[in-house]
Amino acid sequence: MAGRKKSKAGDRFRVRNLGVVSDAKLRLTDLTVLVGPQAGGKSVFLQTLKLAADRDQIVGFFKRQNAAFNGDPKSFLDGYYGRGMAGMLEGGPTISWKKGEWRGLEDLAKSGAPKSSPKERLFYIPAQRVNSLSSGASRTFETFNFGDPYVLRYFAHQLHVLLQNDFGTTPRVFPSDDHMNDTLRGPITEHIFGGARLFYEPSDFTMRLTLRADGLSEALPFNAWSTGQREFAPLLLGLYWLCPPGDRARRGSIERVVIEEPELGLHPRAVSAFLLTVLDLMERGYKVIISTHSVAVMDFVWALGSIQECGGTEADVRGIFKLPSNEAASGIARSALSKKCSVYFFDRNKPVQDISSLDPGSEDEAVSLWGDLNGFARLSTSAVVDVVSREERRRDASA
Amino acid sequence: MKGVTFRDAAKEAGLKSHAGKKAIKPEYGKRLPDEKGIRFKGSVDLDEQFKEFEPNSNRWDYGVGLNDGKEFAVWIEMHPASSLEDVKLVLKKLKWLQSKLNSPGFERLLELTDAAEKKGVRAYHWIYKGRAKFRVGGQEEVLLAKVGMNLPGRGLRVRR
Repeated sequence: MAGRKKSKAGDRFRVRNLGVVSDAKLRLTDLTVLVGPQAGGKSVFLQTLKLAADRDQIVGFFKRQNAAFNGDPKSFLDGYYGRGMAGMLEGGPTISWKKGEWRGLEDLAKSGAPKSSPKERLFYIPAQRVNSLSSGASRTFETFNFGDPYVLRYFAHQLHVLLQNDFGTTPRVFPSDDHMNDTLRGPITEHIFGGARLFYEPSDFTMRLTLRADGLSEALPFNAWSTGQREFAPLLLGLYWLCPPGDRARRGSIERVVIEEPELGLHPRAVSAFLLTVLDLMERGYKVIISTHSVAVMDFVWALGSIQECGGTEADVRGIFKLPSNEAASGIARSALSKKCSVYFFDRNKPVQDISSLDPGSEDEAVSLWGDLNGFARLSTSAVVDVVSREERRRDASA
Repeated sequence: MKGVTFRDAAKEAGLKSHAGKKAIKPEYGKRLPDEKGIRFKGSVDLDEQFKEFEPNSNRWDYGVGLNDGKEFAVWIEMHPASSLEDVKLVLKKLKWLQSKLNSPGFERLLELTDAAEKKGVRAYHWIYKGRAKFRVGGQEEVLLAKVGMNLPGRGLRVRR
């Protein structure tokens, strides 16, 4: 169901023998969604994609942070993926990126640092993002321990820079006239912050994120927020980083965005508010890669694919989000109609499967159950069908 | 119960039955594939047979007799699966069918229907053509589950 287009070589990424991922061959379309059970290899795959896209920039950044791996690939991989992850090398993992030949992960990890300053191509919003803030205060790279994943440490560093630069003198973070239009702000205000406003301001002599709500005499400290609000705040800041104020559509040289488990702590309505921001990212020309356990995300991909397949209009896309007809909303929706989506199922120790059709009538349950996200729903309804049939038989017999 | 055949039961209900799958329109033939160890023993076209007397009813399409060593009956509705309205219409058709099965003369067909359920075979099947627009766990599946039906499939699958 999800739209398809001819893949370019530059859109392909393939890994073999990477931990529990025996073989993964992906086309990175405008929106690529990864689903699968816990410990199915989605995160290690995505971190490897980041490493393939930005290896030189990562090595350079580690070096600026005084990391000294001395060409030892195991130390580098422990520093990059997280302590203990270098054990993956025993499986002989290899990757193929863009038009390149197969290359061992070990080679990627032991090559020397670049001489020039390479550009960063992929922005990564990790699942552990709530740890990028400490009681609402930003954290720098070196406040983490060696062995904490690089993608978390680097994301925290980027949020720290953003907060220092953009909100040092303008304390209101959300809603902000400089970031996002009304179409995107409205659903976030309604479904995530419940009308409260997000500030970056001194609290206990430290600059922290706080929430201010009508009727409360003081700002709410970070740890008093709802789980969803705590999870969403760093995600929101990551989106701000990607969408700079002014006329620039994108940040620097960034082409791709990885967002892990955007649904953490969020009600499906809040997930839909987030998905609107994904449409905005795609309209800006970013390619977005999401890993998720959310049926709401899959509902969206399925609906968008169906609308595209049936020749639907921008009004149909707006209908998914109950958006009014205005220039901004119609623009985002119209852009979405031209975007291609793909979905991949990561199951432990099995080749990764392309389930982009999301066909509910497919004989292949990986496809019809959307990478088993609907497996429990299927079991539940089957149990009801069984009990209803049994009850009907009992009634017939006693009639 | 022992020895009751679908075709005998259909005759008892006043229905014209055909051998094998012959009552099923040829265009739907591929939707009823053979399964190992299960034989098609007879079929009835309810829609056609009741069209004259109940032109405005929401009539169910077909009944099929199957045998895997013992005879049982399943009921098949060929209908698009595009919208919630399709679900509502199929539910009306199911109500019509179940009303028929509980009418005098249909006792043996009802017994054969129960025989299917007893062996874990769904008695009522919705088969669609074209694109299905229902997802697992959606409102459509919940509505169907409440009457003992699964989501529509592309073809008849007796064994689960």
